[in-house]
Amino acid sequence: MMLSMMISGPRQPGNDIDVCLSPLIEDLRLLWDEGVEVFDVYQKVNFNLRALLFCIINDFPAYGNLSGYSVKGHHACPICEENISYHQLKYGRKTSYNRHRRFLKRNHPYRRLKKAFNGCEQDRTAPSPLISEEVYNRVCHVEVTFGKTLKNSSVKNIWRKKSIFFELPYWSKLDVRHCIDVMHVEKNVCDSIIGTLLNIKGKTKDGINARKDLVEMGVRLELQPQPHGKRTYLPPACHTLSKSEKISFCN
Amino acid sequence: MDNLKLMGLKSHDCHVLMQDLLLVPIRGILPKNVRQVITRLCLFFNVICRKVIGPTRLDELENEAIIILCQLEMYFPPSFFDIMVHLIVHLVREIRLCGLVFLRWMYLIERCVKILKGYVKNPYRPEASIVERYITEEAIEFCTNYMSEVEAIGV
Repeated sequence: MMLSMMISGPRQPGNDIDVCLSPLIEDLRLLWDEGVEVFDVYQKVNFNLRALLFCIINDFPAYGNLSGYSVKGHHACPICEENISYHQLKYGRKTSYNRHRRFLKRNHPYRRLKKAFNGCEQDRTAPSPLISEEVYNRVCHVEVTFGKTLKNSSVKNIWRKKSIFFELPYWSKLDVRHCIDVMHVEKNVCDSIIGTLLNIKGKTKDGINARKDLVEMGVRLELQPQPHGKRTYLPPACHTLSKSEKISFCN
Repeated sequence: MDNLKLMGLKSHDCHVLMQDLLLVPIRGILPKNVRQVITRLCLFFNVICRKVIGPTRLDELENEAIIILCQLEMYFPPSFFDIMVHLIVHLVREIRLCGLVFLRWMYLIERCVKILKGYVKNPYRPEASIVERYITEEAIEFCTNYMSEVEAIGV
């Protein structure tokens, strides 16, 4: 069933989207608690229809608005939550979520490699995803006021609000409430791969700051920037294409 | 393409590029190890978008995703790994719990929204103009059902 809703206004509702969603929640509660009488044309009888909201699919910024989890900053992944390992890049001024080696099996040979990765062995185990009730326990105390408020950042919490979907009686029991949109992930990954390969200005993830970060982390020192008078020379990395290679790529 | 740039891709362009096209141009120009990682990444996306995935293959896929990410870490700079790249780890878990990807993706709906957006003639009242044209179109299609030997061409 497709349900469309339009929220009009000069700008996006952002965190206050709960207010606009409340009529929808009201209907969904009715569908779950009592059900509605529906006529079945095939068997020619009336029956009671009940419905459940299984999961909602949206892109990542909207994920943050709907679930009340802050998808920015250091703990950006809503599934790993506080257990995510991040690294703040000093020159690139970004957070990078590397160290995926902890998801590997215990005795995988990649865990013992030092030079190829970030210079140390990895012995931490993979974080376990949050179970449904845990999330509810975390959000049930969060109090919010919608609308424009004076910003008081006295308490920093990664859960910004108790999402309005928790008013549905079954919502706290579901394991996956919000799906990650594969479409959105695929697009962003593709964009950054192509940007990096073709070295498009503004899209590439490689550059002088990225190289400085590598030096700071102490890995792949052969890629460090070398000053040549006024200019700085960046040695080609293994993913860099020369101009003739780029031409053959585009053709 | 002329000035060696590939910009302004829409999400479906990226989808096609990722699934089929990207494998071709990187052949022969990148070093073998980097090429293999990108190929594996493309194949991973290809597999999870399939219409049938055996439940026994999911564990294998999960490991595959992790190994791909580890290998990407070896070759690409650290700023490449933003949160979107991290989310690849969790995709297989969601397939296990929520069902296949093609049942959940939004290409169809986005396409429909594009058509609806085109209906807007009066930007001050977008909803009303969408309703007006939608009803007209429905009515015309309904009428054509009554005429024999006429087929709707779909406006």
